[in-house]
Amino acid sequence: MAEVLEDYAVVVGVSHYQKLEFLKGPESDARNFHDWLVDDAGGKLPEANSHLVLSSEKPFVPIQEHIDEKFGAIIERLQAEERKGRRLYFYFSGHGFGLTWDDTALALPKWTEFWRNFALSTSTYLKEIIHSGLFQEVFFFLDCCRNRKVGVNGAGPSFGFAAAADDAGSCAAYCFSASEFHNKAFEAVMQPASGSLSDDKQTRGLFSETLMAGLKGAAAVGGKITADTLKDHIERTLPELAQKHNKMQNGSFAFHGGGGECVIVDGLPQTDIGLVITFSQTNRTVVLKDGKLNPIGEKETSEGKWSLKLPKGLYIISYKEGSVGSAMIELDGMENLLSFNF
Amino acid sequence: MEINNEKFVLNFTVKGMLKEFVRLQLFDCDGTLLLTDYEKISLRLEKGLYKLHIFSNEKLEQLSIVLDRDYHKVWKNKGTYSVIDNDFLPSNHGYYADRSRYWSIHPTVELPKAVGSYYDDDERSSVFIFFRYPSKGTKEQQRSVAQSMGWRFSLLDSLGKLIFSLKEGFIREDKQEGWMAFHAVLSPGIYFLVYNGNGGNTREIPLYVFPGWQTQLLMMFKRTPIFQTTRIQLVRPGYDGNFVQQDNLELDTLMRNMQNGNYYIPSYLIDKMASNKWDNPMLGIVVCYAYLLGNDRKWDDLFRTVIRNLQERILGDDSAPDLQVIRLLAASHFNEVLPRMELREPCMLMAGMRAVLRLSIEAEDKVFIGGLAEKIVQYMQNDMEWTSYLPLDNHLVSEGPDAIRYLNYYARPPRIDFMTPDEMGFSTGLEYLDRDFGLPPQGEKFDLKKDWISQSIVQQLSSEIANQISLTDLAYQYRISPAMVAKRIRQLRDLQRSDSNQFSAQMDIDSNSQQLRILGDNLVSILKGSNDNRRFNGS
Repeated sequence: MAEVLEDYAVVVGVSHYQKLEFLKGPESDARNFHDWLVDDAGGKLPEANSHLVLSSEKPFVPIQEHIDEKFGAIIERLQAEERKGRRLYFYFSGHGFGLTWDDTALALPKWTEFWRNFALSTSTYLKEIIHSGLFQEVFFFLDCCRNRKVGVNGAGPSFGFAAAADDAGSCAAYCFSASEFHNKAFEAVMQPASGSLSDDKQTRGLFSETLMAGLKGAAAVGGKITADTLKDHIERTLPELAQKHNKMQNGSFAFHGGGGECVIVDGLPQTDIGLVITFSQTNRTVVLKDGKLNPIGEKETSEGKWSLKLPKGLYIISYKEGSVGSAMIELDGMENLLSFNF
Repeated sequence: MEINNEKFVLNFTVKGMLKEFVRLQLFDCDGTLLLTDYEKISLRLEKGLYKLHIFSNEKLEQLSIVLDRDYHKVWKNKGTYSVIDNDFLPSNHGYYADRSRYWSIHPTVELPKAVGSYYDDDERSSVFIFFRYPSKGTKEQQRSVAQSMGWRFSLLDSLGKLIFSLKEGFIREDKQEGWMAFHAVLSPGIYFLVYNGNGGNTREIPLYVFPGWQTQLLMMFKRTPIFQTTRIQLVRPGYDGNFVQQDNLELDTLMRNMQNGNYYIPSYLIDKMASNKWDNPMLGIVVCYAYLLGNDRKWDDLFRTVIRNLQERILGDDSAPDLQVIRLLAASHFNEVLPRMELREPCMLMAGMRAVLRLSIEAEDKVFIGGLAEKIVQYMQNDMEWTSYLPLDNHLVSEGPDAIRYLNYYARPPRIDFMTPDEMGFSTGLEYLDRDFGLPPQGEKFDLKKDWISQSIVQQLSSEIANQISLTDLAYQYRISPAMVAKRIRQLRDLQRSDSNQFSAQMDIDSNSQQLRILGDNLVSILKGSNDNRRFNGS
């Protein structure tokens, strides 16, 4: 019987910085990601496999060693037990700097204009993790800015391997970044609408907000979330969410050694989203059609409202009499209840 | 469920200015991304609902499409917010455009009579600076701001000496409407606009003046300057702003794309390069950068001609830092032998600074960065595509002789020409290595305790596993030139040799520690390694 390989994670949220602006989102964003990882409906990781690192001041931590120790704990455990893992997740929320198109410096709390090296290089961490040969898949989720600053370096990991493992080349790596190279990522106060997946009014990273909604089902197609469906979800919803906050933000994605069909979560039940349509006109008949323009049903507007449960997707509502006056309704999975006035 | 395989044509076309830069993303009803393209989408798709993202000038517009018949849509790009006075832009108003055009033609600094007779109007080169609020309404909200917009700004010459403070007598300003203009006839060469704001909010922007051209810097204010809105353009004296409107918009878009690592040049801009139409040669400079930094080889012959024309026939000056770097990049792009050169003054475009830093590492025996260009590298700011940096202390002058120097500066331009190391008497470009290894001495001293590069070097070389690191490795890592690394290593090594106690105190390392011994060994071996490898001797 084939060995069942486990997944592991290092999750870092850095809000406190010695000189950079305090960030309100990373702690709750990191906690949310960690909670999803260990949720039976999410990443399904045993609690012990997911390491959460949060920042604090006096002293300003974490430093690199604190984060490397978490990687070390995972790697040393696998080595000691002569086992391999299936997947390693690395999530970071905090300040960051773009180094190259495929390398980002993740700023740690002690980072200042002078202490420019207090940052982690994502590409060298990724390379070393791949060299370990211990994982089949590595997922990096990076919610930080990628604008450049001269002379900023990311440090490589303190751990290393004398030589790349024989099967290191078979590892697939997926890197999801909050912004394009040279660009900023933002956080904002989320104002939850009724039925929002965010159950409280909190500041969150825009990328993390869309990422979490995606992982909780908004990115699922046929019950599966793959690297591609998650990428498409973020490409579509992140700019829209940013626009609501008067920002411009596009995600950036780099897949190496593996296809976008790699399944992140499978077997998700199709959760229909509540839709309540209220009518502004009376004595009319409306028709609702799905994304393939197949009719779903009709309703008399004199009834005042129409409550439905529908899968996520695009819908169109129009008056039965003539084509004038139609509206597109999008159930994007970011909320589990949508009110719509027609 | 009804099975539906009907297919229809979906044609979406962008019209209007800068249509070539409008990015389109089409999603199906399940949220799957079907296509990303620029300017136009033409597909045959199944009947259904689709969603289109239209990205134009850092704005997102969404369009829902019901595809139940063939769909043809022409979408007009509505333009862009820009500091440049293009009339149709929503952020611009006639009164700013009128004022900027008027004062770009009329000097705000009286031209000394002695100078006026030397030059015909169309031969004059000048600097024009125009600050304004985003709109009159924004200015009205800032009524309490009483200071002049020129407050804390000064213009320095190539030697870092103050020529003008931007204050009454040298500027024209309307505090009600919220604009300020400065226009002075100046000899060709490099100048520096310095802002010495409160609380360390300082900035310096290099401006190169070409013979017979006006260098224009335009920037918006909202109580204080918004440096990210800076635009720099080159126009003929007495130009009609309408001629360069299109150029400005293309320039804005190319610059923004370059900031995103996108070196895409639409074909009509290539045609424009071929036709040699130059209302604003800054567009030509930026297009050259974009082409030479990209991977396209199709237009190499055209760009050889464009670069030659740009420096010889159009701008009439091949010593400008940007043109030097473009020549260097061209040699690299065309796979030719790189010329030996030293860049001593900063480029106006960050793309040039980044390129020369990269080439100084890749071709360390050919490409050098010295003078002011070297000094400012560690202070460069990356929030815009124009080069800007925190001014050196000796550039933060608050008062000076103002226009007293003007006549002298105009009549006897204090230019430093840009020379190759050979021309400057550097036989090898080895000034950063030392006599222990048969090399010339180093003059400049750094405050090791405050210099982040020195501290980073110490941090890195204090590890035993660092003994294989080379100067080039460190230069790559810090994104500075090998010379800048070597100068600091040498100073560190000299201090350790001459006064180990002071060295350990400055570096915060125990004087008897193993770490200090490792650091000392690594400092020596990295210099020796560089010399042994003859990596910096030009051989």
